[in-house]
Amino acid sequence: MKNKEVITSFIIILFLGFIFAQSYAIFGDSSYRTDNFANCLQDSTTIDAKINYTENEIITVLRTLNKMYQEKVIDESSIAPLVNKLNRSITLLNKAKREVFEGNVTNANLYVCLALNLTQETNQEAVLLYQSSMQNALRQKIIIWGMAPIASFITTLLAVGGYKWYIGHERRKILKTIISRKRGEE
Amino acid sequence: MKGNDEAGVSLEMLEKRILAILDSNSKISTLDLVRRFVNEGIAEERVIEAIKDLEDRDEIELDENFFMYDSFLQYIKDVDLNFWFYFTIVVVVGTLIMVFVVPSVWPFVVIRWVFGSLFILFLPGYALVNALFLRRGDLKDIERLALSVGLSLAITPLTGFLLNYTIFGIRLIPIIASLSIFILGMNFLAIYRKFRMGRSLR
Repeated sequence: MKNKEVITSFIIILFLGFIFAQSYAIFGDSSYRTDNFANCLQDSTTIDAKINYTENEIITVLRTLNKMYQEKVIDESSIAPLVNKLNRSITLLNKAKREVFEGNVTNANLYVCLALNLTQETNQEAVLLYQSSMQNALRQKIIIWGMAPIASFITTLLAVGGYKWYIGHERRKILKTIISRKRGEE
Repeated sequence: MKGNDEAGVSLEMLEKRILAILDSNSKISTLDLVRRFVNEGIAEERVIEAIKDLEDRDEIELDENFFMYDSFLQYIKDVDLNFWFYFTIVVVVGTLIMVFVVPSVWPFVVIRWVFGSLFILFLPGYALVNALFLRRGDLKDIERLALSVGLSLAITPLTGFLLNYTIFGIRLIPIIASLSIFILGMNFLAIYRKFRMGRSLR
């Protein structure tokens, strides 16, 4: 009977260990695309198209950051550097727009490419941060749910054993006493 | 209705018989009393249940049988009777190990919380109560528990207050050291007083 319990516990522990190991395999490192700053400068696309593209990229990053904040998968202090970078991108994009208005296409191209590069960098960092925090949260959940049956099993064994010991202890304690009728206060 | 056991005696009848025996003998060893009923075919658990019942109703008194021990060492070795003494020592030593040896990181920190809570909120009062109320019947278990927690809440800040006026100050090591000394001192005083009281009763 005892061997059966030990074997069952061992299989449970082995199974949980397997699940834990799998969690690393499923959520391994992810790769992502990076756009080159030099490529952007030499690109023949019109400046307006580049500005539109950068604006869309900024909106994407903003959505990712907002999602992270709403889901509370990460604290504010970790999001703050990304928000600062995004603000810098917006400033650069505004400068590019002003240069376009003033007719300086070369300068505008430089600013928009800087903004795009910074936005894409921020996007990559945000995605990475989101993935790693989700991965950590999931890993923690697996550990907690995996530990729960083991902890309950151990607690049950301790409680049953403790109760049996307590009954025996009380019995032995009473047998080592002298008994007499209570006197007075009647 | 209280049921009959294998010898056909109800718990009520058993209690009446125990009281009748105690009326004719002022004091009797519980072991002898239990054996007497066991020889009649009544289960030991049944007799112990009746004794506990009578003790709960304040009709009988149970005192430690000091006739069994010739020396203090022999008495202190009886773990069943002095479980409280060993429990206190184990918790104090456990707390010292948790504070000075085991790192304060998850999941060890949970064990540290358990030992720390017992050490601060229960043991000082428990040791003092044991040193003051020596007899089993002096306090009921629930009274002993409540008094232990209450006294601990009074003793721990007082220890800090006294430490404040020494060169050690209110720091981790002086607090742990002073509380450990207090608890272990009271613990040894309690067991020694119990033994002396038992000797005088003999």
